[in-house]
Amino acid sequence: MAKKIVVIGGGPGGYVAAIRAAQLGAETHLVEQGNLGGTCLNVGCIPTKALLHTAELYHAVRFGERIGLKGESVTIDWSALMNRKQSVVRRLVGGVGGLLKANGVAIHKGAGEVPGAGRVNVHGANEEVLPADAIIVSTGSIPVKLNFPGADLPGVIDSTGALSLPKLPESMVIVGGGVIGVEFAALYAALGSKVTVVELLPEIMPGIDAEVAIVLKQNLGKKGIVFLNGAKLDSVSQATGGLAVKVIVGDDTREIAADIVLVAVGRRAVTDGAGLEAAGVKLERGRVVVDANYQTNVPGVYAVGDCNGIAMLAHAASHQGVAAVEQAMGYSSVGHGRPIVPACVYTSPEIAVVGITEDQAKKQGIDYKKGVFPLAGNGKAMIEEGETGFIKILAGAKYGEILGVHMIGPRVTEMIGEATMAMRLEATVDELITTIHAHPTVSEALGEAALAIYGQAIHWPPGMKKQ
Amino acid sequence: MASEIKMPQLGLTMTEGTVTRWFKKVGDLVNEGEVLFEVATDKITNQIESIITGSLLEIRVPEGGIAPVQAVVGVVGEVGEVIATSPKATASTPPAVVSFVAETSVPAQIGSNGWVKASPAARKLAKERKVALDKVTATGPEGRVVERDVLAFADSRLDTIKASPLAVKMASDFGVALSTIGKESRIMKEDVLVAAKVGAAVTKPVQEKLLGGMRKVIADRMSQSWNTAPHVHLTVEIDMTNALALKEQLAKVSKQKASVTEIIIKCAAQVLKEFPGVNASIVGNQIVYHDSAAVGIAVSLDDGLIVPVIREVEKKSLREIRAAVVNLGLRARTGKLLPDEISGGTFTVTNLGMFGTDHFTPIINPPESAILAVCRTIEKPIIQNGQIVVRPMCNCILGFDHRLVDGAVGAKYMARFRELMENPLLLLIG
Repeated sequence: MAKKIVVIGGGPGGYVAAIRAAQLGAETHLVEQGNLGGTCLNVGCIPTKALLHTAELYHAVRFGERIGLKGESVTIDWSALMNRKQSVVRRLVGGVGGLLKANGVAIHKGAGEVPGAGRVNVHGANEEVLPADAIIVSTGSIPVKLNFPGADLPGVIDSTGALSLPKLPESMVIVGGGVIGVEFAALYAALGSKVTVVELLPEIMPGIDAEVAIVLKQNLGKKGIVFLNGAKLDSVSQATGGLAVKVIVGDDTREIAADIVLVAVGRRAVTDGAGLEAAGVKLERGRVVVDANYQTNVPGVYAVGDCNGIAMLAHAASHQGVAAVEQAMGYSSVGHGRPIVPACVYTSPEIAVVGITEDQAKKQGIDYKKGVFPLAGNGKAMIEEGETGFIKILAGAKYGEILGVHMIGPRVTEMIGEATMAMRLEATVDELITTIHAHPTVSEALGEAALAIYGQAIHWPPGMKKQ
Repeated sequence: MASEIKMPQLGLTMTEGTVTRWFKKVGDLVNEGEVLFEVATDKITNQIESIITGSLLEIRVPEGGIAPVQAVVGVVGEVGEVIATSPKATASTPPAVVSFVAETSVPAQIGSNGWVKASPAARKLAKERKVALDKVTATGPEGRVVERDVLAFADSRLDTIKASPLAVKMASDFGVALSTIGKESRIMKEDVLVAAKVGAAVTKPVQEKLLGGMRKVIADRMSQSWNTAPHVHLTVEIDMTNALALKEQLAKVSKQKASVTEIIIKCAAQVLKEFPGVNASIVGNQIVYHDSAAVGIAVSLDDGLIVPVIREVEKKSLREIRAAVVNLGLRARTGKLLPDEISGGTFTVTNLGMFGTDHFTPIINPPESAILAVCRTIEKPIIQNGQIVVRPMCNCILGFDHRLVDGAVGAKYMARFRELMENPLLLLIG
C-alpha cells in the first residue's frame, strides 16, 4: 500500500514537497487555506519582481539620455501595472495547481491541524481527517508587526500592502533597512516616489557582506533614497495631506512627511493554529525545531521552509521539502549534502551571495584568501552601467576551496548559480579559473575574481586599488 | 633465473654501506624473507632479508667490504645455475625512496608470451580494479609489478574515481589514496576527512622532511652545547612579592604596560657584572671575559625558536629594557630581526612560565656559559617567622658550563640573583 503523506501549506516548501512525494509514489494530500504558491507567489518574490521589472524599464527610459534613449512623456499606468502583476501571479498560481493535479496530489481547502503524529485535521468547508504516515508542516511566515503610536493608521502598511497600493505614492518612509525594506525602497524610488529608509542599526542589510552593503547604499543614495541609520521610529500621526513620521536619530527628532509608511522589519514563523504545541512538537521562539532531516521531535512530523526559521528563502524551503519527503519515503537524502543556500537581493544594482561573509570568516577564525574584481574591468557590466559593482570571492588559504561569493552588479542574480554549484561540488578557485566564461558576459568577472585571489586578474592592473 | 642481491639504501643520506656479515655461505639455500646478510652504515646496522628463494650462488662483496648503494653484493639463483653478468649491475640509479629492499622504477617487464612480471597480490588487485598490468610502472624487485604499483596506477586514473577538486587536494595533502575510500558516488571532502582519521593510525605514511633552515641551526647548536659543555643546573625559589609590586608601580608611573621580564633581565645583568666568571666564553684555549652584559631572550616561533639579544643591559633602564623586549619579540615573530640582533649574546634568559612550567633544565646557548630559566609564578604557602603565609613564588634555574663556572660560583650567582629579585630596590643601590 502506498505511503500517505500530508503536506500543510501550499507555498514553495509545501507544494514542491507534495510533487516530490507524488513522484516517489506516495498518496499525497496538500492542505491550504488560501491561494496556492504561498507568500512567494502571492505576496512576495513574484509580485515584487513583476513590479520591479516595469519600474526598471521606466527608470531606464526616464534617465536614458546618457545611453542614447530619449523617451517623451513616459508615464506609469498604475492600474495596468497592478493588473499585469496580478496576471503574472494568477498564471503562476494556476500553474502550481495544474502541476499538483497532474501529479495526482489531492488538494484540501482549509486550515490544517496536527493533533499528533499520524493524522491531520482539515478545518474547511468540510471537516476532514486525513490519516498520514508522514506530515510535512510548511506553514510559512508573516511580516513582523511593530507597535508604535499610529501603527493602525491608514497608509501604514506591511510588505503585502505595498504590493497593491491604490496609487503610486509620492513619498514613502520604509521602516527597516533589511533585504525586504531595501528592495521596496529601490522599487518605489525607481517608480519615482521619494523614499526614506529608517534603520535602527548603523548599517543597512545586516547579514550581507559589509563591502557589498556599502556599495549598494552608495548606489541607492545616488538614486535619491535617503537612509537614516541608527534611527528609531517614534510615531506616525495623521497630518494634512498625508502622514507625519517622527523619527529619533541620535539626540535629534525629525519629522518626515509621507504618503505611506511601510513597516518591513522582518518576518516571523507561523506556527500557531496548526496545533503543533498541543501535539508535542517542540518550538523555540515561535519556530519549529527540526533535525538535519527537517524532522521535528515527533517522529513522522517534518517542518520545512520559513516555519523552521533556518533560512527564510523560497528556494531553501523547496530544497527542505524535497529532502524531508525523501527521508520520509525511506530514501536517505543522498546528494543533497549540507545545503549551500544562495540569496539574491533585487535592487539596482542586484546583489547575489552564497557562502560565508568576510566578517563571518574572521569571526570563525578561518584562514582565508580574498579575491576582488571590480566590474569597472568588465565590458558587459560597463555597457549596463554597472561599473560600481564588484565580485568578491573568499577561499580557504590552504586548498583554495570556495567559502563565499559576494556579487553586486547587473545580472548577478542569474550568475549565483555558477558559484553555488562550484561550492556544492567543492570546486576550488582553480576550477573557477580554468572554467571558460563566455564573452561578453558579466560572468567573466567571476573567473577574474578567482584569479584575483592569486593577484593575477587579467583585466585589472596589478597593485591598483579596487573601487 | 638468478637474482642479483644489491646494497640497499637504508636512509636518504646513505651512499654506501659495509657488509658486516653474511648469514649464508655460497651454496647454501635461502628462503624468501630469510635474513641473508647484514649491512652497517655510520648510523645504523640492519639485517637484510632475501627477496627470493634459491641458492646463494655468489658473494661479490665479502664481510668487511664496502659497496655503494645498489651495487651487487651477491647472487641468488637455482642450484648450479650459470650466472650471467648483468650489464646494469652497478649502473642503476639509487631510488629516492627509503626502503629496505632496493628498488627502481621501470616499465612492467613483459615476456614474449605477454606474461607480465607481477606479484600475486598485484595480479589479484589488478583484476579487481580492472588494471592492465602491462600499463603499470613497476617498482618491485627486478622490475616486478607489486601491489602498490597497481594502487598507484588505479589512483592516477582519476577518470574512474569521482572526487571533488577539494577532496583531491586534501587527499594528496593527507596522504590518503582515493582508491582506498571505496565510494561509488563522488568522493567529497567529508569522505577524505573520515579516511584520513581512520587511516591515521595504520596507513598514514611516515612524514619526511629535510632537516634544514632554522631547525638545522637549532639542532647543530644544541648538540654542540650538550656535547661540549658539561651542564650543571641550580634551582632557587624566589618570593616575587616585591618584584610584582615594583611591576605595578612601574606600570603606574610610566603609564605603560610593565612586566617582571625586564626586572629579571636587569637583575640577571646586575649579577653578571658582579660575577664576571659567569659572563664569559671559552674561545679556543682562551677564556674571554665580556665587559658588558648582552642578554639574549628566547622567543618561541611556530616552527622553532630564536634568541634576539639586548646589548649593554647594565646601562639600560627598566623602561629601555622593556622597549627592547617588546620590539625584538615582535620582530622575531614577524621574521624581521637583523643578523646582528641574534648574535653576540653573553647570557640568555628563557621563560616557560606562560605554559605553567614549574621546573626545567635549559641548554646553554653557545658560546655563552650560562642560561637562566624562569618558571611560572604561583601562590604557595611558605613559612615566615613561624607563620604560614601565602606568597607568589617562582622557580628560577641557572644552567651553566662547569668547565668555566664552578658549582659554588653558580650558587652564589643565584643567591645574589634571588636577593635582588626579592628586594629589587637594591638595583638602585647597586
